[in-house]
Formats: sequence, C-alpha cells, structure tokens
Amino acid sequence: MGIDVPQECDQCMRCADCCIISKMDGHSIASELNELAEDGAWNCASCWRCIEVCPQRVDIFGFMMRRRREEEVPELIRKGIEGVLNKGFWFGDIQFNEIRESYGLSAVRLLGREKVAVLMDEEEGGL
Amino acid sequence: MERMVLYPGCLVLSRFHEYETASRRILKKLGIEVLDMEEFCCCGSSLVPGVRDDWINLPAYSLARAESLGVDILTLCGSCTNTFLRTNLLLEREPQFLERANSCLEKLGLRYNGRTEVRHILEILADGVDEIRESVVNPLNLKVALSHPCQIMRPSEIVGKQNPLNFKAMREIVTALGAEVVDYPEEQDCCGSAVLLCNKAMALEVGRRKLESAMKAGAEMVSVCCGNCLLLLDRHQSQMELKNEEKRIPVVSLPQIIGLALGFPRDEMH
Repeated sequence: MGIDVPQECDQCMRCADCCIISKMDGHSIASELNELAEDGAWNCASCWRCIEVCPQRVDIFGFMMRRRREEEVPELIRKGIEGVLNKGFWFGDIQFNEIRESYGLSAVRLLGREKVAVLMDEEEGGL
Repeated sequence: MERMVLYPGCLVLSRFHEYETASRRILKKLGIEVLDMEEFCCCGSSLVPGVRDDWINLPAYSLARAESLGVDILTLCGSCTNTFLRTNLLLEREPQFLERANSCLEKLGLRYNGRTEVRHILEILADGVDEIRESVVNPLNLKVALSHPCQIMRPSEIVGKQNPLNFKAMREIVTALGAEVVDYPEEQDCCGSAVLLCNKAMALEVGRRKLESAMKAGAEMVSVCCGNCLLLLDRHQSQMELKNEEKRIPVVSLPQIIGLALGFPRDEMH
C-alpha cells in the first residue's frame, strides 16, 4: 500500500478505543496506522478524539489527509467539491433564497465560479 | 454594540433556517449586531484538504472578508469552525501559505493579515448564560439529552481556547432554561454525520445508537448546536432502524430551545 506510517506511532490502540467508527466495526485510525484498512480514510467522522488521546502526538490529521488522497474520492464528496469549485457552495440546489425570505432571512449571494477560480489553482485539479 | 459577521455555512443557510433564525434573534437579544457575508463561499470543511493543497484559500477568503469589516466571524457548525481555526493556525505557522492566499485574495480586492477571531455560537451563548437565565419566561419542563458540536472542542491544538473535553457549556445553558439534562453513555460521542456522504448505513447506525441511548435514559428531546448534527439526528432520523419505530425523539438546536424559553414566537423557533 505504501502507507507512510508515522514512526512515532507505537500502536497502543487508544485511538481505536475512542473511535465511534471503530465501535461500528469500521475502520479506525489504528487500523489505518496498522495498514489493516484498504479503503477507509474517508470513513472518518472528523471528531478528532483520537488526536486528544494519542500519547505520541502523532499528526493524525495530516496522516488522514494523505491517506484520503491515496483513495478514490467518494461520489457524493466529489460532487460536493465540484459544487464548491463551480460556485462556492457545497450543494447542487441553489434555489434557497425564496425559502430564506419566508423566514425573514436575507438573500445569500454566492461567490460564483469566476471568483472561486481566482482562489483555487485550476491547474492543480486534484479531483 | 459588539458586531460580528455571521457565517452560517452551506448546510445551515440552505437547510436549517430555524437554527439560523433563532441564532440571529438571540444574538440580538445579547446585544450583538449581526452582519452578513457580502458574497458567500464554502469553507471547504474538513473534506477539501483530503483532495487539494490549495484548500486553505477557501476559508482564507471568508476570514479576509470578516477582517475587512473589522469583526469576528461567527459560525453555526462545528466543521466550519474547525476549518477556520485550523486555517488561522496554519497561516500563522506557515507564512508562505498566507503569501500564496494573499496573492489570490488581492485579485478580489482583499488581503488577510490573520486577525479574524473565530467564534462558534455556543461560545457566545455560554458567555451570555447569566443574561439568558434571567430572561427565561417559559421554563422548559423537559428532560433534554445533549449532543455536543465536537469539532469546536477538538483537537486542542487547533481550538486552543478551552479544554477540549469540557462539555459543560451546553449543560449549563440548558439547565439555565429550567430543563433537566439527562446523562447517557454516548453523550460525548460524535454524531457521525461526517460519514453520511461516504457510508450512509454506518452514519445512520452511529446516530441510531446515540438516539436510542438518549431515549433509554429518559430524554424527551435531544439538543444540538451544529448543522451537521441536525442533518443526521433530525433529518435522517426517519431512516434509522430505531427499535421502537413508533417512537421518535425531537432533535432541536440549542438557540431554538433558548428561544422557546425566552418567549420568542413559537412559529419562528421550530
């Protein structure tokens, strides 16, 4: 797999013990670190309890982001990120101002594709 | 009057209008003037860093917008909060990222100097708990279980402001409303909402465990303070295989139940 396992990890499993996904018999940070999971870095709740309990202060966030880049991006997350790049908004439906108005909430104007493109290096791609 | 710019996030601005409405009303009550983002852009949440190196320019844009107004940015979701806090820390530690972000922001007429403070609504409500307590006109005679916005509390390296395992804020506020807080074993577990997009069955199971445990402990309502928690525990509750299918439990944002206790019009609070 070529996973770059942090050398500081001594596989104490405290991260697995506190992980809600691990409780579901899903992946855990520990299973990632032990190369037991092949396709699990996106199955992370991002609650970062594991970071708090790690006695070795492993850079778990950085590790998980690197692992995610080695895996295929789940379809719904791919769609969300495409939405962000296209208009600066995660969801496909952007007809929210009418209902906002019914709640007395002000209309929201999205940044839009051209300005998002200024922020994001299109050549990097990544998707 | 203190001023802040509200960053509702993609989820709340398009799907949880009651949460946003209640938040705005209570902020006004606490003497905070709420400004709007001129042009909204997704913060990228914790998902975009798993795909792209230039993710940081997205949250930097919103932070720069707030800085241009000279105000703090106020968030309603844990994931937006965590992303903005992480961004501030990274831009401070790695000046080359700030330089790169500014080379893009300047094309939009903006510049970021790293000065925007990030504040989640729970932090504001906790600061105002005495005023909230004194303003209660309809004490809540309810047993309420709590589901905390975990991403505003962890990791401590990012959040910094408070003990990451300090879950007292919601408890103190809900108690101030006259409600009884019900303890249950999964209270400090994440709701699992972030997994919805890649493993829906697993997310529903995490949510089911949490809600069933709260109901078993006698809760009549679950209070949350994050759009992601609302998305899973409220909007997806009907898809969970709860043991007693007839039984559902209301999942309501903290600002909404504060609004009910403070006597705001009921039709605006739910």
